[in-house]
Amino acid sequence: MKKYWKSIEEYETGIKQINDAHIPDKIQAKEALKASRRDFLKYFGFSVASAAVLASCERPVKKAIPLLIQPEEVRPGIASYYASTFYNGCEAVPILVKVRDGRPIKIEGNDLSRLTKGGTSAQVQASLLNLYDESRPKEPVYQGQELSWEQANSDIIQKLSKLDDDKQIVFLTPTIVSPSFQSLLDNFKQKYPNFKQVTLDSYSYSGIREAYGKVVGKSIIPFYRFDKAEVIVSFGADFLGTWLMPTIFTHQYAKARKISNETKKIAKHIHFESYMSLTGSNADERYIIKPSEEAKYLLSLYNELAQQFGHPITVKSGFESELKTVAHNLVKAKNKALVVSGSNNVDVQLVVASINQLLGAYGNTVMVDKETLLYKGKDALVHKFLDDCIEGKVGAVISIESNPAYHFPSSEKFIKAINDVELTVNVSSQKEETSQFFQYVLPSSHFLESWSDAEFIAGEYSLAQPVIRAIYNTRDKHQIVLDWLGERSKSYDFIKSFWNKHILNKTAETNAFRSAWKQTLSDGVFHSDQSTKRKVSKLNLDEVSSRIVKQEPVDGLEVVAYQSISVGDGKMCNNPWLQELPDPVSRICWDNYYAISPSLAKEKKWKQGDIINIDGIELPVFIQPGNHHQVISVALGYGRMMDGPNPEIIGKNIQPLLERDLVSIQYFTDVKEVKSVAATYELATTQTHHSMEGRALVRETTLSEYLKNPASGNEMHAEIEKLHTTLYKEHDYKGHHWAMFIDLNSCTGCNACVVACSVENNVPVVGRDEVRRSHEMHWLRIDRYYTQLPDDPSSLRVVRQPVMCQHCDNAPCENVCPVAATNHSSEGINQMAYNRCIGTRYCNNNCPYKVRRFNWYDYTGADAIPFNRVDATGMTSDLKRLVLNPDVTVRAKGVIEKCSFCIQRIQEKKLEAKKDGKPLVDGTILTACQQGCPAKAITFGDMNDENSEVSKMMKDPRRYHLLEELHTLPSVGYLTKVRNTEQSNNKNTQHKTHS
Amino acid sequence: MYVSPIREPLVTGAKSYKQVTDDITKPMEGKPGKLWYAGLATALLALAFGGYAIFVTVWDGIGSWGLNRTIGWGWGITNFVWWVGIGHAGTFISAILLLFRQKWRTSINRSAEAMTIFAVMCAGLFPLLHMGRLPLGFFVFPYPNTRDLWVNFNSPLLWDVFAISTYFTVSLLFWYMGLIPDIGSIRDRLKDGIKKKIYAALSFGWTGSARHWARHESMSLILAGLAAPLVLSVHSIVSMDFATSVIPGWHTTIFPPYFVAGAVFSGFAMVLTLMIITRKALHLENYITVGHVESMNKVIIATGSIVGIAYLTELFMAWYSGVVYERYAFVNRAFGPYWWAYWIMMTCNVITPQLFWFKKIRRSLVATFIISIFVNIGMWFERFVIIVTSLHRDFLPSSWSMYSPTWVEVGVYIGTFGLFFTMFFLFIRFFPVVAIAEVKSVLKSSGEKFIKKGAQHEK
Repeated sequence: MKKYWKSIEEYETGIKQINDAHIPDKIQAKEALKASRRDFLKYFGFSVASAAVLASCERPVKKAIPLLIQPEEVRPGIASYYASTFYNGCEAVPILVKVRDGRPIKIEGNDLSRLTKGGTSAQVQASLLNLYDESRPKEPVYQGQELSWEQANSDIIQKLSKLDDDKQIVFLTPTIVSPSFQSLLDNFKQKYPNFKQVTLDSYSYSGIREAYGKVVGKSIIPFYRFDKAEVIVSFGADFLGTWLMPTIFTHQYAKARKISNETKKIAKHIHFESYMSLTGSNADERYIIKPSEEAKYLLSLYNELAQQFGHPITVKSGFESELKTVAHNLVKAKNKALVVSGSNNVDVQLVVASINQLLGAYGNTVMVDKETLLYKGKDALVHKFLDDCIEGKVGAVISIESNPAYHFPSSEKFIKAINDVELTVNVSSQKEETSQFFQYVLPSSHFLESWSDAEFIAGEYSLAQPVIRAIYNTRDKHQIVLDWLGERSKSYDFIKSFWNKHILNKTAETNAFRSAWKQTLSDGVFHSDQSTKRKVSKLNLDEVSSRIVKQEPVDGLEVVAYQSISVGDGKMCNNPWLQELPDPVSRICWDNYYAISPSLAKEKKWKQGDIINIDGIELPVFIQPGNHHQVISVALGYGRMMDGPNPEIIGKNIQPLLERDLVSIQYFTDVKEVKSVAATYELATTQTHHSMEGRALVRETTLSEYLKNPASGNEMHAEIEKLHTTLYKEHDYKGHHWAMFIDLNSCTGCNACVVACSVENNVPVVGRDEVRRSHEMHWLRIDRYYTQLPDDPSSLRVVRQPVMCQHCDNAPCENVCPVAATNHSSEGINQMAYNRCIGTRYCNNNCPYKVRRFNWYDYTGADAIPFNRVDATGMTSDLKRLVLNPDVTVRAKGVIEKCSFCIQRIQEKKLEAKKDGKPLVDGTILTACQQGCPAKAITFGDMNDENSEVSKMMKDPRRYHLLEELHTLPSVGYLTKVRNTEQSNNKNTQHKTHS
Repeated sequence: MYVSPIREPLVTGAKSYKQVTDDITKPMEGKPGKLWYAGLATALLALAFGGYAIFVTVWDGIGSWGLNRTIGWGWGITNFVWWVGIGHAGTFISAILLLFRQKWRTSINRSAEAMTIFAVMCAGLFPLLHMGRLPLGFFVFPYPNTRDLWVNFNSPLLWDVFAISTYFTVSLLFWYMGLIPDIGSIRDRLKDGIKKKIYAALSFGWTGSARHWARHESMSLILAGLAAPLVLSVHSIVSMDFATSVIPGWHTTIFPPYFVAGAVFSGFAMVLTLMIITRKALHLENYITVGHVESMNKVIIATGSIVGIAYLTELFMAWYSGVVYERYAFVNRAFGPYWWAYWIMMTCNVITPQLFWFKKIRRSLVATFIISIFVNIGMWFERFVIIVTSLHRDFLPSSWSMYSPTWVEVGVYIGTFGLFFTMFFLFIRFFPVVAIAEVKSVLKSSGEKFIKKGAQHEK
């Protein structure tokens, strides 16, 4: 040890013996040694004692009992897909249901269906939410009194058997597409001979059926093949939006309009209509006619065609000269032409059928051998049923999912008549107006909880299976009828044996059936190519044409009622996803309105949002370019109660306007009286400016110019590519470099992608007031611009552009975030770290595409502050939250969110490929928007993979990027729109660029 | 020292040193008047209202403001830039004018600096409040953490954090440095009591010794040297919040000088607005003279003209660039839905200050007061025009939108006025509004008495 001295004196007198406590290291070491044993024991003893005391405190016991037998299909964290069928009384679409941990969270199109190839519609995507609807009927009810199923069934059976023999038992249903259910009804008929089934369609197509009754001898709706047509002429048939089966037609249409280096041909689409519809907005040529003139136009077209083909013509109706070019186009295409009409008038449909016959379309674009099995209702029978009710001939009315109190053509008369019927039963899976007028209300299962099947086109079958146990005390419709028949079997067994006997019966052996059944259940779809040969007879149009010509022209205003893309017939009104979906034409959500042309607005001095009263129904005015000057268009399917925290009736039911001619309902009528009401109403819209302002946002060209130069309309792209230079080191993407392409020629604007994106990514619904404040949250929007003058509706053209995050490689948003919450991945994805975001919104300001969305309020319940939730639509209720995708973070108040290229899907497929030890195959990863797109307009893939689809598109002369002159280097690309018209309307979109 | 008799005296009324101290400390001694109480009460009321608006903002969310998917910044950031701009006069006067040896600064620098500090406090509130997740605001600091998270040094918002906090710190230090000798004087004038103890503590043991003075002077110079570049840098950086973006109307290299000029312009206007009232209320006409007002008006006309040229340059460049987006942005500014904001800005910032070319107007207190208010309004609208009209119609017409504030945003703005005036009222009550020591330092050279003496010599 060193010796220390403190002073000279000490040094000189000798150093004191160190025995005291002043030398630190010695004493500390000593004490530490001394302390260690005792203190250790002390601390040890204390810890053990306190641990023992604390552990003995009572804690709430949480029981977690593991499943005795682990279900094979449920793997926590891994989704299973079940094939099923969507059917809501209108169109039927084969689907796949994604189920995670026992709950369905997403509906996708079934890509095994040869008709849809995985396409869906907005309604199909959104229908999932109706499963988690709290307002659904939950228990069987008899006159307000809950009772058990057994009780209800035995009561109903008893009452049915007690009915007088001459009293009818009527099943009121929407069109039955399920062959097995139809056979159940046949059994029912055997048991109750006075049984009758009446089909009540929410939108009537009985005109076509009746017409074909005369043409082929059976009242069918033929199957149309838009994909085989080279010239499509539609008279008010909104076949891309709502007419018959829009999902399948959109798929066909997009196929017919696909242009590439290999196929340089696209179908020409000519559209006659009175208001701006989704289909009309996609047309190459659009003619504006009054709905009352449609019949005469068609007759003139017939005459013109007959003349050009050298056939005898019928009575002239006066528009022949206007239709010369249209007829010429049709004649050129001959049997590759297709003419359709949306009219419900038999005479009109007879003319259409005759035109198609002239063209030789039967067997080519119009298939009478393969009929469409949707919309089987006949107006006359519905009318007859009402008369029977009034006359007291009906003893029991059992409504199954048909909601007659809303959908019946004259619902008030129906409600009055139903009062005197002895037994009324309403079987419904949703809250219906009808329930309050019926004695029994039996809750049926949602289609995702039910076994069923469908044959929506002859020979095209699809199975529906439950993907979740019934949430409420509900039974599926097959089961309910089986119970009434007194049969012991379950709906599954019944459907299986039905398929065994009637559909999969070609395979004789039982084992073969079993595997065929299993395969079909797994595939979801099954088709047989057998068809019924039908002879098309030649019609004499003289009688029809003289009737048409005799019609007095309507001089004043006319109202046209149409189904909206989002809400449709109104069955799915109680669906926040659909209500918040902006209409692809008007971009309005949450309401219906009277759409009028700008010229009519000027004439009547009506402004946007002014409320007007048409024959007793008050609605706000919306100025819609492209409408006929004398036509007011308005959507059906509104005026229904929307449940949620603030229940309200959304829009107005305009069906009373149409109830003039009951025998055959027409969806247009002349206006008796229009009154201005001194009030205004603010419609919620997501787009307020409708011109591209001469900016080259949507680039388009015409077919003739495209054939000369594939890069026509897109000359700017090459110019800008030349200027591509930077001072900085460019990113190097060594692995994947994701990219997305959108073919503007394929996109019809159907909105399926918008809903698909919202479902997949837990995008909040904000409600009408928030949309009014431009607070909508959609990650993907479809911009719609008009070109040409709004005052000239026939020259008006519409372009659409789906816009989501462009995932710029030079992203303006990334630079400006102070906390680097938004940054670039090594695979070229612009990503958001929600946890890191502090919500400065600078990224949103600096985004030229304005695709970033800010959580203005606590829309989702993810915020830590209590009592501040803004949930206008009840989307944060415990039940509705079951729909959330567990792979996607639910964003809290105050953070920015945006399209992630469905990063969770990319990751999933990457991991799968890694596990399999194989490279990722192009096309394996499908983003939600891409998967649901019926037109296959969206392509996603890896730019670094030379053989990928997107790499091919990168070389397509039609390729460009939105605002590419800003040098943001987006990973999303667009392909120019090609119109099949003669003259170019692209002159004013070229301009100088940043240089 | 000889001073030309033509020079206007900086202190009128032949004051002695004692009289200077007496005059300036008078408002602090004795009971405050009714006017002071009324003023403070109003300011506190406004502050309370602002507090409630802030509560709503934080609790409910930014949705309570009028912003939307297209317009991410509105009144909040407008007010931020406006307050920061106002906060430029104080440091400009005390630092840059000190370096340029402008003696007239001595009687206004104290209150101007105080105003700077209060304005920066008000300004600082807005970047905090406009954040969606205020409790996580500390993410903007580059602190070490186990998650390896780091801030983004490319972001102008981060530069803002440093610029504003540095500016606030340096301004506060500079202001307090100048206060120390005066606090010493006040302490010495007080009888024993708690007040004296507080002032004694605040004076940091100032004795007025030559050594203290020497250190004080050199420290003042150092701080002035530090503060002078900050005057230029702070608003340059604030302007980069806009200039580094891609938004037409924001993406402009002219912004830094134009913003600095505008800031000094608005700061001087605010100083004038306040000083004209204060000198009257506190009877400081001898210290803050018409000559002072005129000097400041000269700065206003200079900076106002720079701002005017900047506006015209922007218009020219938009046209000359040939870029559709740029051109549209400026046409839209002048003739779009927010045309009124643009023309208010043009009138108040470019046209009315030009009246100061007339000496009569320049030296008229009433005219100056009115025009200074105009400038305050005009400069607020300048920021509104830049932020809102640029954002509301940018690249894609599909997303164009409109903006109007909600009561919450207005409430927060009113609240910052409450904060500003609460601080200001407390300041005039507890601290000398004019720098006593500094005025005394120029009294012998620029006081009326001494200039007159010089004039007599000349005769």
